Amino acid sequence: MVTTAEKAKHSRGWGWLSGLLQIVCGVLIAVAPHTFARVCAVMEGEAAMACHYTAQASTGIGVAIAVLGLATIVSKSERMRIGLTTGIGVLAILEVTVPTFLIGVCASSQMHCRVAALPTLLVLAILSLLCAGGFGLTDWGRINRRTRIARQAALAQKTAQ
Amino acid sequence: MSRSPHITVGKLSVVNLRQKPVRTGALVAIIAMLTFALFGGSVLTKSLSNGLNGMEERLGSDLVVVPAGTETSTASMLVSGEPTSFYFDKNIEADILAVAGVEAVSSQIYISSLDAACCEDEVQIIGFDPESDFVVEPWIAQMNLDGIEDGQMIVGADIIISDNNTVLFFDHEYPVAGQLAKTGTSMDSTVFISQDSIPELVEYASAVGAEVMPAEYAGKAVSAVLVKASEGVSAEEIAYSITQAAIYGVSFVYPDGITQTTGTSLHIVVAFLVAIIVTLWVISLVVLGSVFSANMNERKKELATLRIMGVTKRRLISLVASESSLIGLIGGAAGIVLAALVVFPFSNLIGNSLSLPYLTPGFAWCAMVAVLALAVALLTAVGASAFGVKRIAKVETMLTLRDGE
Repeated sequence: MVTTAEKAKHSRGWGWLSGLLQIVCGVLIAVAPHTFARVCAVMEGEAAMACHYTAQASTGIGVAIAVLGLATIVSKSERMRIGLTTGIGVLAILEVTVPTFLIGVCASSQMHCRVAALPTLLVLAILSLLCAGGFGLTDWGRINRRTRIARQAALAQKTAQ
Repeated sequence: MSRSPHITVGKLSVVNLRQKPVRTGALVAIIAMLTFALFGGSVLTKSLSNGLNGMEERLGSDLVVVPAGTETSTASMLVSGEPTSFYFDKNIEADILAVAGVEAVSSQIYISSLDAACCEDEVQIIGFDPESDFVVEPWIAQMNLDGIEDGQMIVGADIIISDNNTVLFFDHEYPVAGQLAKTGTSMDSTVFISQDSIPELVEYASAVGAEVMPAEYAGKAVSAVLVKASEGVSAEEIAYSITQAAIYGVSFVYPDGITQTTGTSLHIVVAFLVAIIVTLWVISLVVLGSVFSANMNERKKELATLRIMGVTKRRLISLVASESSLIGLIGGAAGIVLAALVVFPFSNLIGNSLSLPYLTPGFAWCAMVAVLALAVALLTAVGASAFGVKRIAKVETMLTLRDGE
């Protein structure tokens, strides 16, 4: 027989919302530098600017976040979801560092990659990080609460005996 | 012996809010929208106001005399930084100085560059005359810079300087004498050079195939003559006198007029923002008030039971107030964070889209407004729950439990 505690342990909880938000953030991170927050175009015969490589790296990171978001939706285990959101959090931090430190964008403050692509990628990555942190902590809190209740119940049973 | 968990008003409020996640989420979202508009709108308004002040300080002259038909491109260069190039005879400067009511004149040469390694987009190069100048020199003095020598440049805040303190234009490295502070205006992406260095710059440009100015004009042509009016003389009177002095082929740009037009655009944006904030605030009050009121009806028996268990009326009121405060605080914080994620990273994009001078305020001002916005969110949420709180204070427990029997 499956107990209520077991059911709660394997319930999807807010995992669907967490996963859905991560899929949206991941897809937007992947497509933004190629569409609505476009980076500078590579001119024929000229070397590609840093923002071009930032766009490529962001596409990879965005896809990875979206895939982990999908896994969060289907995952029934809270511990598994904590692992997945931690992974998403790490990827989101990586996404913050790509256009700022690791690769960068064009230096001029008026270039479209700096005006539009950089803030868009940063904001999406921060939102992804906040979602991952928020939902990860929620799952962690649920586990802790259940553990505490189980411990109190066991103690009460022991005292009654 | 085990310690029984201690129930406090704070803990009970958190549990109550958790029990109704959708309702709590909706209320938090409403407060978040309110603070988003309040904080975001305030930062936006202050940034535009800073930009306007910066522009007023930077325009510096009473009248700008330009070649006929170029007044629109001059105005758009001054407001939105659209680079431009046009010229007329340098002798006009002396003719204008001779006009009655003119206290001082100083000419400038505008050259737009497409070939700057520091910045791939167009940069406005302004050649000024350090001897007669009364517009650029005061900024240089403000920045404690040592002035400018021939062949040197003074660059705006958005211009990228290379490691060896130079900027590259037309394949030539110019030493940078200093960098101006950010103004939020077109001046941030402008470089200033002495007029005596312009012929050399034109040569460098033509050597790399960029025709910025016909070589024969270099040293003989200027783009604009900035005019300072004598005490008690208006810019319009000087413009009329210039026309009467038979100086032909010129148009006039009135910096005061540009500032006024920009100010009008700013007022429209501010009025629009205020309307949105007030509407959201009224909606928040009505929705939150209705939801809290309905919630009190739903929870009548729960609250009556707590009374019977020995919870005082004061405690019940603080329970409801604590729930609404939590909603106010969480919603307020979320709204501020979301607004900060829009207004700060996208400040350049917002400024460019509005085509208005835009300078983000400093950290202290933003922190103060964030605290105020949070206080408004808190007061709105607590104020909206006041009706429910009043009802608790009035109704007797016995009557509440009997209600509906």
